[in-house]
Amino acid sequence: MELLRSLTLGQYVPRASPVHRLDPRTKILATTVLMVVVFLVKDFRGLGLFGAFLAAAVALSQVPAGFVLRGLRPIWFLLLLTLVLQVFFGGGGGSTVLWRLGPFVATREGLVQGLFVTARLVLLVVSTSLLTFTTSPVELADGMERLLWPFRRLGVPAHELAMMMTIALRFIPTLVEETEKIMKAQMARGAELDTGGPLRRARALVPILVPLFVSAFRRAEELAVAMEARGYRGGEGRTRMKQLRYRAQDLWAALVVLGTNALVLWSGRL
Amino acid sequence: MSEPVVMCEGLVHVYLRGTPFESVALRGVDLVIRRGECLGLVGPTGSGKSTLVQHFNGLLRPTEGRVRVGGVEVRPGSNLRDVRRKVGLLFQYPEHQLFEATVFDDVAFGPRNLGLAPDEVRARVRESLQWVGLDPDRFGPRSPFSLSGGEMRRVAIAGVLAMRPEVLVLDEPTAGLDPEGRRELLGRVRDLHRRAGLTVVLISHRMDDVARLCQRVVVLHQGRVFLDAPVREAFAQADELRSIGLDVPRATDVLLRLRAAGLPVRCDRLTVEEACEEIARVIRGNRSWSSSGA
Repeated sequence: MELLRSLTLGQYVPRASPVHRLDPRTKILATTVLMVVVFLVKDFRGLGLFGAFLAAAVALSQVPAGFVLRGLRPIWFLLLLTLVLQVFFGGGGGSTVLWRLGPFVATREGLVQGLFVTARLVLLVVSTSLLTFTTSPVELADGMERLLWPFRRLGVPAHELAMMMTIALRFIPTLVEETEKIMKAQMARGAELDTGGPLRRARALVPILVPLFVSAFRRAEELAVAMEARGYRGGEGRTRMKQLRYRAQDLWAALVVLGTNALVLWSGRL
Repeated sequence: MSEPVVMCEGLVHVYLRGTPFESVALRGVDLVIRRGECLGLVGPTGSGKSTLVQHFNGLLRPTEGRVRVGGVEVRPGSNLRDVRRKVGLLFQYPEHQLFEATVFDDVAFGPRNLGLAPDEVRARVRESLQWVGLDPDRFGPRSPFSLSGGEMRRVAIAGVLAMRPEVLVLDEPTAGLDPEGRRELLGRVRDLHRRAGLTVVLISHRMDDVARLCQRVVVLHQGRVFLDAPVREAFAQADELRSIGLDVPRATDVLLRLRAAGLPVRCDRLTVEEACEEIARVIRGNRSWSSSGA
């Protein structure tokens, strides 16, 4: 029954590391840079350098390496599929045949290409999860809001998007807890949730989903009233308790990220 | 002494062991609940009450130690169906678990899960609704969402009673009810205990309710049994209870203050009626105090 609790959604790992202390905007922008660079890198040397930089960042963030690797678990199948497809079809008509499987031909070029693409995916996932590991959901939403602020003249509802994100994230644990409670209550009345065929299992969800929806709507209504009662009227003229402020460490972090990534890209041109 | 129905030995429960969110809820609880008793389980918020009772019907399994329910040990692989049938667990705000289109169907959810014949299901639903004081003919066809809060809660209790448990665990059953609803509900629980012979475990922050209903009090504090005593002895230890943020029944509190003010009353009286008698007895037997003090 602890299944739901171990769900790592919004998987923030509280630590007092230098990475955690950075301004969320710095981290969001740095992650964007990393995501672009990991797709621009063309060779293993660049990927290796990139990986080394990422490993250093993970070490600096004090997030346990096991935790970071656990984040790859949901996509292991995707990784495997990518690798297999690339081995057989990614060679681009390459000539070095490794082995044949009926009409399918595995090529050496395909294997190399497959390993490269898989490694790229792993690095992509690790760099984005480093952001969510080191930045609390609220900081993340704040950072997004501030970054989108200049675009509100173009009709981007920056504040509303951030508020929706904050509320959604805020209520994930609540809903998980609620689900767990309702599941337990129905199990105490003899409901069996994990036996029978697919149809039976689907029907067994009704006693959980109905109360969950009822309570989600009730909570939404209560939240709306509570927000209005405290004078909430959208983002206009709203001040914040925690002001985001760039500090020297953000400048240094930005320089390090830009520097290493320039090096990564440059190494490909040698 | 009657036979034990629930036994815990050295029960330890750790949530999310091996993650950064690990937390220890129970640190070695020994407890025996005997058939037919009415036990009050009290303790400050976070003392492990809810975690403890979820072991009684196998919703949680011990991290360390043993739990036996009616002779069956609760552990992975043991027959938890029987355990769940023996112990009926009513969570806080149980009305939030209602989901069916009619009250009848909602109460019938448990019996149907037991695979009972339709006649038996019908009989149990009627009986359970009557136990909680709802007329089956009038309330049965209605939607549970059209009822008042107190009525919804009684439907939820009927849903647990329809499982015919031997032990009924109630987690804060009167939270959020008005005084009338609370009196009514506690009266029903007392009837179930006295007439139907149900073993009752009552979790409550309201010491008045515990004093009125229970024969024995178990106090949990920081995941351990802090105190386990008959109700009068337990509430006689007002200082200990207050030191962990709990309190004594209001009537006991009044007697303690009178005693501190010099009136020689006995303080092991728990209800308002008992306290009145005690004060009257002392004042009648002690004219000198009443003439000088009043």
